[in-house]
Amino acid sequence: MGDSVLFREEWIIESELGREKQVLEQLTCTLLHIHPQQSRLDAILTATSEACLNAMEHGNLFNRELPVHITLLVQDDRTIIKVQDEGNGANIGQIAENTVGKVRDKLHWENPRGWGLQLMQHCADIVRSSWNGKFCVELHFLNMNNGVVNQ
Amino acid sequence: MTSQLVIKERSFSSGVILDLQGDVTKTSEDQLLHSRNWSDETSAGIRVVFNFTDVPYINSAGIAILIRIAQAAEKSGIMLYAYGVSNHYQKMFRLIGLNEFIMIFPDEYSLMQRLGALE
Repeated sequence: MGDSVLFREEWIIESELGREKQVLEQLTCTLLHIHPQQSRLDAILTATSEACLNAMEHGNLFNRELPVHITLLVQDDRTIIKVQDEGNGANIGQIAENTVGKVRDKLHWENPRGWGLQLMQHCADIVRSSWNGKFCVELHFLNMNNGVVNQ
Repeated sequence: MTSQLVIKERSFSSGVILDLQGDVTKTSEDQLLHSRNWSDETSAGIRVVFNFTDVPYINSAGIAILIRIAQAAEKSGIMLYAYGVSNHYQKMFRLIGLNEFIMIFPDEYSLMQRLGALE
């Protein structure tokens, strides 16, 4: 993995529904500047949006005082979005095992959940999480840059 | 910030078209759920069409609302259709199986042609 960072940008938002759209707008501008033809832009935006929503809701419990920290890292062979919250974290692999499915499979559920994680896993090539005092979800989008970055 | 959803209703021979304008997210829950009585069994056979042409942003919370509507509509016999859904969101709908409840067409013309052929 070529892990030298060619470009980096960070955003911090309050844990309030709708704030994630500010990041999506800025992320769109940045990614289109780096690569005018972003074939996976919609997928990146959806995955980032869902990671932010999970961070606000499950990590920071919609406490506006608590920030969600979003970092964009562009590397040779991938684009990475890191979304960090102040929560205790969760085992997203286990959650996915218990929730991923289609609507038909969840008809008997009173309030079917898990769609956000499902969308993230579909849109990103790698979804992983870590906890080091703060909970962080990483979304990896592979083979996007080929070493070309407009500065 | 999120653009508030506005819903306008138009009638056609076998149902209604709901023109959606704005984001489909948690904040649009009331507008979508109360746009009609989705559990009304006397509405069985009515066709309800969602026009997504002016919906720029849909997130998982918005999809969850559409799922609740789809589940209620299936029980009450209301038939759901949609058009104007971007390729990306069509993929998302297919991923979670929402397309099993809402038939998706590219545009109003093709949808009306299809419905006309059924009548």
